[in-house]
Order: sequence, then C-alpha cells, then structure tokens
Amino acid sequence: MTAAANQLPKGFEDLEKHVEYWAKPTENERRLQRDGSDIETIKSYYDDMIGRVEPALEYLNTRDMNAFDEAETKLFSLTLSLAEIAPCVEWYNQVRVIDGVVPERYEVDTVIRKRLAREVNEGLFI
Amino acid sequence: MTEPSFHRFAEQFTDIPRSPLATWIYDSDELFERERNEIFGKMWLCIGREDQIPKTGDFYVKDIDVHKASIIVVRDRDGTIKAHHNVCKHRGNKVEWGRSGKCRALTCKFHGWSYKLDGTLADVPDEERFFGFDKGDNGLKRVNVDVWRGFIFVCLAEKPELPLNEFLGEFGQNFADYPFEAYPTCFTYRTEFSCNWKIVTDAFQEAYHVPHVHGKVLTDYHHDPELHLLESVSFDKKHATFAMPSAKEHRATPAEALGLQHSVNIAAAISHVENADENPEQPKMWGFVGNRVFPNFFCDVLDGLYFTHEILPISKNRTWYEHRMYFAAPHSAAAVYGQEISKVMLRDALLEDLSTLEHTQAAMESGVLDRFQLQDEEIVLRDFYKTIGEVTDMDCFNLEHAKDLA
Amino acid sequence: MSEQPETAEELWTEQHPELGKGPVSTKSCIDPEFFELERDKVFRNSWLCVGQETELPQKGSFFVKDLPGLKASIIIVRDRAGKIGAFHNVCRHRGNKVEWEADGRCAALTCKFHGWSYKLDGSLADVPDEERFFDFDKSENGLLPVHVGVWRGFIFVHLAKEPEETLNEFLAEFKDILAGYPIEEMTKGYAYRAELNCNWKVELDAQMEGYHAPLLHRHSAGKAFRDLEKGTFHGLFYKLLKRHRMMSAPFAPHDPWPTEAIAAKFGSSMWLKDGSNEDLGLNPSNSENWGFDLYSFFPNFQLVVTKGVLMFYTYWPVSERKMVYEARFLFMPPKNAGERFAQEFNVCGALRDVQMEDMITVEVTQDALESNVIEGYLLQDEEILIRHAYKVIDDAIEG
Repeated sequence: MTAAANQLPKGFEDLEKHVEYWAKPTENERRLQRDGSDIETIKSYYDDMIGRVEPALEYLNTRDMNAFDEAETKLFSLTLSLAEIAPCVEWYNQVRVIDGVVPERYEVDTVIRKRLAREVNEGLFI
Repeated sequence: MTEPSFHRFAEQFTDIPRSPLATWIYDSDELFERERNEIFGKMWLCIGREDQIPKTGDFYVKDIDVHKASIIVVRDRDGTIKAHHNVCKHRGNKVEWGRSGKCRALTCKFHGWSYKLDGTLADVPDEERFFGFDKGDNGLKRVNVDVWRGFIFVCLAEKPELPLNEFLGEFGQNFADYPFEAYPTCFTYRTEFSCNWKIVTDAFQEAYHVPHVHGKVLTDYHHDPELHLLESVSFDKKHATFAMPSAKEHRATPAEALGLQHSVNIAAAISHVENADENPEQPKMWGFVGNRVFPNFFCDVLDGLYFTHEILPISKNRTWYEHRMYFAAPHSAAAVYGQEISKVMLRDALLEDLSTLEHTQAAMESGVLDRFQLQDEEIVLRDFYKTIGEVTDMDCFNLEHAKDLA
Repeated sequence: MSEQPETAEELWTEQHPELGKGPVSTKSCIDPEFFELERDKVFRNSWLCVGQETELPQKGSFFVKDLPGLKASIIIVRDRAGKIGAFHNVCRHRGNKVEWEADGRCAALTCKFHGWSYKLDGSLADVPDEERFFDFDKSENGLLPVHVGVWRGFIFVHLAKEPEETLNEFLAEFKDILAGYPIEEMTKGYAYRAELNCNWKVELDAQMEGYHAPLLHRHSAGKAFRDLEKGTFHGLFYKLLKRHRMMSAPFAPHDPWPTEAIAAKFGSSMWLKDGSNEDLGLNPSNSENWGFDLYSFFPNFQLVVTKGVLMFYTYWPVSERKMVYEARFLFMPPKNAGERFAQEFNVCGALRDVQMEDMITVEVTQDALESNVIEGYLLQDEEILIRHAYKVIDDAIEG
C-alpha cells in the first residue's frame, strides 16, 4: 500500500502520504471526505498539516495561481482540506457540526458556483 | 389542384370559434364545479378494457375522485361486466379494499355482509336481528356500465341521458374493422399531475407539436416539413377523429431496425399505409388516427399497435393520468425485444409531452397569460372548448370573464 | 428614523413606540391564507433581488430564476445591446416553459413545444406555420416583460404590471449604503442553497439578531460574539427605515484559533474585530469593536458585510411551511494562494458550519408553531429588527 511518490513539489515529501486521501480538487469532494472520515483520521491529518500550511502557502504564493501545475494544485488542495477539517478539531472535537443540520441539507449550489468561477482557474473555485 | 388554404379547417367547420381561448378556464372554481356535475357526473367515461377482467370473478376498482366514487368493475357469472358502488349497504364501509383481484363474492370485512358478483345481497350474518329487512332491496348500488369494442364505460348519473352507443354516435363506425382484439398485450403507465385536467387533455389533441417535442424520437418529421399537418379531421356528437399522414420513407435507427424485424413500433407504424388509395375520404386507419372520446379518453390507432390516454380530474388542480399501450402477443424473444423498443420510444415521446404540464399550471394560476392563440391545425382543441362551453354554459373563449373572476 | 442612543443602556425599542413591546403573533408563519395574501401583496408587489450582473457576462447571456412559491419563472437576459431585460418564462402560445436550462448564452429563446422563437429583447421572431393562425400579429405576442432594475450590480425584478415605485424609491436611503465598498469588484466566491421545512420568515429571523450568537454558536464562532463583560451580545447600532432595517454589530476580541491565525496572516479573518475606518461606508457608529454590518431589505434580501467578505442572502417562500435559502459569500478575486486559502477558511472552515448551526432550530420551531402551543414571540430589545420585520409585513397585507 504505497502512495505514488513525488506528487507534490519538492520540500513537501512529508505530505505525500496524504495526497490520495486529502488532495481533493472541489469543495464537495472535500466535504464528502470530511464527512466520511472518523475523527482520528481527521486529527491525524490536522496534526501533520497544521504546521505545514504556512510554508505551503508561502511557496504557492510565488507561483501564478491561475496556472498551477499538477503538483502545485495537489499541494494547494491539501491546504484547502485543512481549512475544511479545521472546525472538527478546533471547534467540535467531532466530524460533524454539533447540533447542526446534516451536510446534505446545506448544499453547494454548483450552478451559481460555476457562474462565479468563470475566467479563473475553475478547478480551484468550484 | 389549388393550394389548400391556411385556414382550411376553419373554413370547413365554421361554427368552431377562431378567437383566442381564455386561460381562466384552467383555474376557475365555478367552471370546475360545472364540469364536475355536467360532464363527469352525467357522461359516459371510459375506465378500462374487458381484457383486464377476462374471467368470472375478476374485478378491479376505479376511483372517480371528483364524485368521491369508488367503483368495483367485475366480470359476472353470466360473462357480462357489472359495475357497483364500492359502498356496503349496511353502514357505508368500503367493501373491496384491493385495487384488483379475483373473488367468488364481494364481502365487506366490517360485518361480513356478502354480495354476489352481480351485486345482489347474498348473505347477512345475524339477518334475523334486523327489522323489516329484505335482502332483495339491499344489493350494491349499481353503476351504469356498458362495453364498446372491449372498452368499458361507466356513467354516474342515475339514468344516462343517452345509451352508450348513441353517446358515441358515428364515432364507433370508423373503427368497425380495427382489430383491437388482436393487440391484447398491454403496458400501463400511471401518474398524478399537479395541474388542471384540461392541461393534460390539450397535450393529445394536436400534431403541431410533433416535430418539436418529439423531434428526437420521431425523426421523420425533420425530413418532411409538412408531415405534421393533419390529413383529415371529423367531428361527431362531442367526439373527434383526426388523422395524421404517414412518412413517405421511414429511417430507422439501428436498434429500431432490429426491433422492426419482429414487431412494429410507433415510428414505423406511422409510415406504413395500407389501402392508402382506397377510400380516400375515410380516415386512413392504418396511418395514425387520433380519437378523442369526450370528455377524457383518447384512443390512437396505428397498424400493429394502439394506445390510449385516460384522464380524470382529482381536484381543480390535480389530475390522474393513465396511459396504456397495446401490442400483439409476442411469440418470440425477438418480438419481445421489438415491443420493448416500441414501448420505450412511445414512453419517451410521452414524457416529452408531459414535461411541460405543471409549469403551465403555475403560469395559469399566476394569471400572467390571459389567452392562448390557437391556429388552424389546433382545431380539435378549439372544438373541445366549444363543447365544454356548451355543456357547462360558460364560454371558454370569453376573455372578459376573467375580470368577473378577479 | 431612529436616533443613536447616547449610552448603550438606552433601549432601542423605546425609541420606536409604533412597534409596541408585546408578543408578536406567529400566525403569519403558519397560516396558509396568510401565505397567499403575503405572496400577492408583498412578493408580487415588491422589488425582489434575483441575482447579479456578473452572472450575465456577455450579450446573449441569460439565466432563469424559478420561484415556484410565487408561481413565477423568470428569464433574465442581456440583449444584443448589452441591456438587461427580464421576461416571464411562459410561451405566448400555450403557456409552456420556454427556457429549460438554468443558464447559458443564446441568440434566441426557443420554446420546444411548437418551436415559437423569441429574440433576446423578448420580441416574437418566428412562429412555425404562422399563416394558420387567425388575426395574428407577431409584434403583439412577445414574451411578457417583467420590470427589472439594477443597484450596485444586484438585479431586481418586480412582478406587478406597473410597480408603484421605482427601484431607487423602493431602496429609499439604503440606496446610498456602502458607498466606497467595492461590491462590484467582489465577484468570486461560494454559493449555497438549502430547502427548509419552515416559513421563510423563521429562517430570516435567525439572521436578524445576535442575541442567539454567543450560545447557539458556543462551539464555533460564538467567542467572537460574546461581550467580554456580560457574555451576551449587544448591537452597536440599529436603524429602522419604513420597510428596511440594519444592525451594526461588534465582535469581541479573542485569541485567533490556529487556522484563523494563518488566514489572518495571508488574507483576513472575518471574525476579528476591525475598528479601522477606511471610508468604505462601514461601521456607521465608528466603533473600535466593529465586527460587521447587516442590512435587511424588505421583503427577503440581506447583505452582511465585513471588510473582506460580502454575504448575500435571499429567502424564498415556497409554501407557508417550506422555503428555499440561498447564500453567496463573495470576495475580491484572490491575488494568490494565500488569499484564496484565507477565503476558504472564512467560508468552508467557519461560516458554513455556523449557518448549519442556525438551521437546526428552524424546522423544529415551525412544528412547534403549528402545534399552537405558543401564539406569540416574546422579543427583547436586541431582537428589534424581527419586531420591525413582522410589523412591516402586516402593514403591507393590511395596507
């Protein structure tokens, strides 16, 4: 069970093992992944990632966001996944919103999202 | 030969209004009440076919919601079809709770009162404890029922104004030779729509829509711009017959072509014209002939299959719809495949027809559009509303009436 | 108009005696007859916000707004001259829906029923078999127009044949809010939708007061709402117009949680108080504890603004006990990955979950209201916007 190597830019090899599970390109996929995980998996990712978000963003800030290559997109998706699961760790100590509606009830409106995402690297805005 | 006029049907049928149809008719409480009483309460309504109940004791239950009527339709021992109100004479309980089945007698599960198939009261537990009671007076209340070419009709009036064959008039003559009995295999599709019943009946009374709505399924209409023009229209009593012409050359898709080797389908049936040059005045039975039996029944016949639409109002803005397709009994797996293709094509065409109904209903309720402008080829629709107006004494072409209702 | 209280102890409700102080009837949230009156006298008689200009990027762009609770479907289109128009999505022939796609770009709008085709300005261009109609003039049979107006890039429609007031008159003083705030440039962001089993006003009420925030959001962003002295929420400033209303709200200082700190470093966090006054039309009471401004427009449209996020909400009635909630969270186009990450934190890492905390209350509330156990809401001073909202609706029904 080896993750494919070298999917991320150099210097982020420690995060390679999370790429397959957490480098999801769209909000809906990241939400689904959060909702389908147990809190231990989430905490383990959080612990590995929270200290790496700043260096990742500093690196990605030197690149053109509308022209990321595959490795940069994956790294960036990892940071977005960290934002997605942060409430589980920093707020709730569980996967779902405490006393909240289930995630399916609060839907991403992909029709409007697509209209808003025009003219940019859509992959990062849907 | 002179060019036929663009208003050929209006010129032929001068008593059918040409002016726009008023849309308050789809949302008016008063009109609905009159339709309920004068039409659904008094006229013959087609509610099925004999083939559904072939053997003694076979029955099905039909609800006519606007009159809160539940009707048991049953094959009696003498081979005839009887129809009874599904109401026990004792204390009004429903006798038959299933939708269909087979039985020896109709027994109410409340107190065990049991009726024969012809409705006579056969058995009453503890009968002696009733007072001045005669079983002979207490059979199930009969509903007038009659059968035409295998189609079962009922009439809720105590005494129908006309017997069925007079109600149908000349209409039946057109089908003297059509072999309904040759197509016993039936597929049924049922649903309820949140719209007025007349929005549903409108969908089946013109061919103007065919090239646009059914363009994907019935592709011949793209190749011939005049194919959708009606070949002939005739009216008799309250009923209508309209014939659509056949394609000069039908182009089948590969799946369809395979199916056609073993069974007919709607697109091909349209193209097959038998006896085309004989009897040019008669509607071409073997093309596609649409028939409206007022108020709510449509029977469209082709060479090799036929299909029916049955529409019943549930309330002013809810409607029950049942669609049946009839084929010859398949004698091979390949024939079954052929019928599947045909069924799917027809179902897809049907879904195209029906996709618009509830949106139109909302538009009618909002009052945003006060009239429909109907062209010459939509004459069967215009005749329908002329008839409704006569029966209910409310002029469906009177746009001013909307103001009275506001 | 309200006057600013001299001290925080003065009650806002005292300044508005016309609103009363007693319980507010819940009938308007459960009664089907009220719903019909509300549909006709409020929604079909007001300017309604249906979207933004940015959704129509080119000539020929269109989108469809379906409003089933109002029995309306509206096509909004940018025509060949670049002008925005709106039409009932109803074919003049027999009332079929003309445009079935949610959006797109086209040269003409064609009804699939019988092929009637309309130009982008609504005029009827093509009718198959036109000669077979009777006394028929295409020029009189274009798509039925709907009045349309644009304010700060927001598209409004009015369903009456002749609106009683222009859009500017309708917006009243609020047409001048947020001068200097770059609404028109905040074109990138997130969008959500929820179908809720409650009256539209019940969800709107949840977003018109901060009284609930420290408690209901205690696991999440509640720390930003909790006044450090009293642990409760106090609005900085309330303003009531004839129909619209607004609240300016504080945020309490808090230690940013770890992800918030990262977001604040690379972009900004919406939960951090920001008393700076950069002449963006924000923070009308000039408070150093300022958190956000909330503008609630009659009947069903809200803008909530912090310096970095523009939140746009609409609440659509479907029936007396069903509604559709729509939300957009809009930002300046991010210049780099860090800014984009901060936006993701603000929405996916915070605001979205906070909204979901609000929503759990509304459906159980609707059931409770329908049981008639209570007949009125007991509202405190900080819930003055709710009190105002119900009065305005009642006045519109009776008026």
